[in-house]
Amino acid sequence: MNKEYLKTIYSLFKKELMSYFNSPIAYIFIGVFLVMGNWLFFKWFFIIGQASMRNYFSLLPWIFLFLAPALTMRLWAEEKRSGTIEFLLTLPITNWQVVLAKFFGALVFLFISLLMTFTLPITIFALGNADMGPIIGSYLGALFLGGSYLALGLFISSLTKNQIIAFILGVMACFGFFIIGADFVLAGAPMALAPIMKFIGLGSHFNSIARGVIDSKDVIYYISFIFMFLWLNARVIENRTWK
Amino acid sequence: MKKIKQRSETYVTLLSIIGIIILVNFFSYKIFTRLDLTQNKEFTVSAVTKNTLKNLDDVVNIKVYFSKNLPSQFISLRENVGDILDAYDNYSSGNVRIEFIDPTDDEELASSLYAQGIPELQFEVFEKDQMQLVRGYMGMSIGYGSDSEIIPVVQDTKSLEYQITLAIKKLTSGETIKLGLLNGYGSLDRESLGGGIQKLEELYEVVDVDLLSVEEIDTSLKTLIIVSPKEEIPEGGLVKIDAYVAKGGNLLVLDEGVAIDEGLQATNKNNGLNNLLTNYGIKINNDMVLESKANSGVASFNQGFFTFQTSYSYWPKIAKDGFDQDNSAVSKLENVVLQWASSIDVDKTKLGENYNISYLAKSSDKSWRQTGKYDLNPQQTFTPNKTQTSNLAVDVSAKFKSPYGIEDTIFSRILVVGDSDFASGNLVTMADNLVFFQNITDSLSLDGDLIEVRSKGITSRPIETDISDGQKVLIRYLNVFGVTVLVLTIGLSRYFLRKKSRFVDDL
Repeated sequence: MNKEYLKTIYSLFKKELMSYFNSPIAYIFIGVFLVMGNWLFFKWFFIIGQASMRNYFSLLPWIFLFLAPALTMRLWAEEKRSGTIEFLLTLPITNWQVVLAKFFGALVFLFISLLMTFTLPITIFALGNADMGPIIGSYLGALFLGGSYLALGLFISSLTKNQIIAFILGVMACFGFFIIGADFVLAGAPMALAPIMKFIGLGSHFNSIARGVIDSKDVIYYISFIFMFLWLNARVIENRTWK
Repeated sequence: MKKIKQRSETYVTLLSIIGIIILVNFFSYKIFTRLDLTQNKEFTVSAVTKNTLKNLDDVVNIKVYFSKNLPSQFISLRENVGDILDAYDNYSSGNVRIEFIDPTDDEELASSLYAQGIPELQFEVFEKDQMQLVRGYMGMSIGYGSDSEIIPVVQDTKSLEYQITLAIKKLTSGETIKLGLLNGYGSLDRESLGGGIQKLEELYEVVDVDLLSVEEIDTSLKTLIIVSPKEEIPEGGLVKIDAYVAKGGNLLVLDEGVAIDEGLQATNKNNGLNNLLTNYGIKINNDMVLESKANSGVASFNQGFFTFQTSYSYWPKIAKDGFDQDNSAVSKLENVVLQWASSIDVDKTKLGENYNISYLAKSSDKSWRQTGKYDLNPQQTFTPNKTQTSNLAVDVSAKFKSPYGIEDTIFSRILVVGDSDFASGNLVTMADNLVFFQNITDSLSLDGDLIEVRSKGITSRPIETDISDGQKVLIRYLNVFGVTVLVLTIGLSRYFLRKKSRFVDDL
């Protein structure tokens, strides 16, 4: 991979990221994200009275479930509908470069949104003796989980021209992958399948990192998951003329 | 034709990529590294465990009896048990052998487990749209030579390291440490102490001590536990306790200066023990320490047919700041609730030249003491008189001067808590109370060795309670809308700036 290759990705990435902030989408998105998450968190915070962000991070996957597909739904669908995809892909760049640029654009945007929740840890540290480990772990886990949702959402967006369909399918797919490893789903699953389902579930790996333990197996899982859907995405773009 | 070729190539690549991903993930489960970011290293084994393992001179066999068909909520438990045992394997340089065994369908093994005391458990599982009963094992045995210790049911991994290390220590140390529990004079016995004593018996042999029937207290008892005698101990008994202390025995006294009877009537207590302690230089005052509502425990009361719960000022809650941070027995505790506790004073002039005092637990500087008349009604408005901090638990080591004329006394330790209720009945299960009771007993009897392991289980991290409702609302709205308003302002100004510059461009 040469320097030029990365440079192209970088300039595409910058364009993608700036396109969020040049439209009202970014601000509305961050606004909704902060109000929703922080409001729900503070509903119980003083009643529970514990200096931890555990409750916030048990909510976050559910908030991401809607916000991540909302971010990715237009990324391919819109380009397809307006026809700019043909123009984009006739440029001297590879599909991978475009996919990576779109993915990292969305991921960095998600990261910036997460950074905006910085007031929560500050409040918690001011009010009690919180444990830093789970908080760092949870933020990292949230980034990995968000990244997985985005990769999945991006892939689904590449399958359709319609943003609404991309959004609904995205939410459903993310929900499926998140929930499949949850205890209450496993309780009803055949015993032989349960360990595999637990392994596939995005949520169980998130819980593991959110404890404050960065385990190589969880990280490898997330990276595999993201890679897998980005690769599928690149293939779909490449073979879009099959039909 | 080209399309078909392209398509099949894609599928082949897809399958190989999936294959590689599965392989990589499979091996990531075999070979992994982990970084434990938690403050108490909750998922890493402690130095005590590492040391114990390093000093092993023979093989310890750990057999984990976990059935494969356990309900799915126990899958992560099995994983976590495996993770912890991996650490044992790593640090033992081959002296710990770990084996996971599924006893299902092995009748011979099942009866041998039954004989060892590892029960077969029953679980209700929802499968194929109906409830089914599943039987399974979740036990563990730790063997050393011909001896073995068992953990009948592994319920969680919170205290698992403590249990395993304890079992290894017990097996390899050879003898069990003995503690005494004073009986009679209305003091709390085994039964009323319940859970606390059961916990202690995991490590110690707890012997009942009846002052009337013994000539002298056996000095092989590492610690004598005295919990709230209600009647007066005659001088003969006190002499025996004094002789025990003079010979280096440790005392753990849980007692208060004011007794509360079942009708919630308070009377000053005089059981003679306090006189002995006062002579040593430790005095349990005839008072009660009260805390503001924010710093007190929640109690439930019955009123007619109703039960109500309220923060009760007579139940002082000790938060992190209240514990002696230099003392490993209590430094990691966050939340202990005492009930009708008395303050303790230490008179250093009586302690001789060499002494060591640790003020284990103190009430907050907003607490106050009540003496004389006590109105225990929970529904009153409590108004503090003179606010001050009070000692609620002290640990003193010294050559205590014998009030009965014994001359050559040797060093011993006396640990006094101005309350006994916290360790009894249901209250011991409240907050960190049980851990507090175990830790202080261990600190006297084990020289603080295993404490480091257990404190891990503590998860309570209370937030500051001293904030008004107005402040709470402010904190809440600042968090919810503060950054949001800022982000929206930046967004709007960017929007207008861009619009303006576009307008200029158009011109």
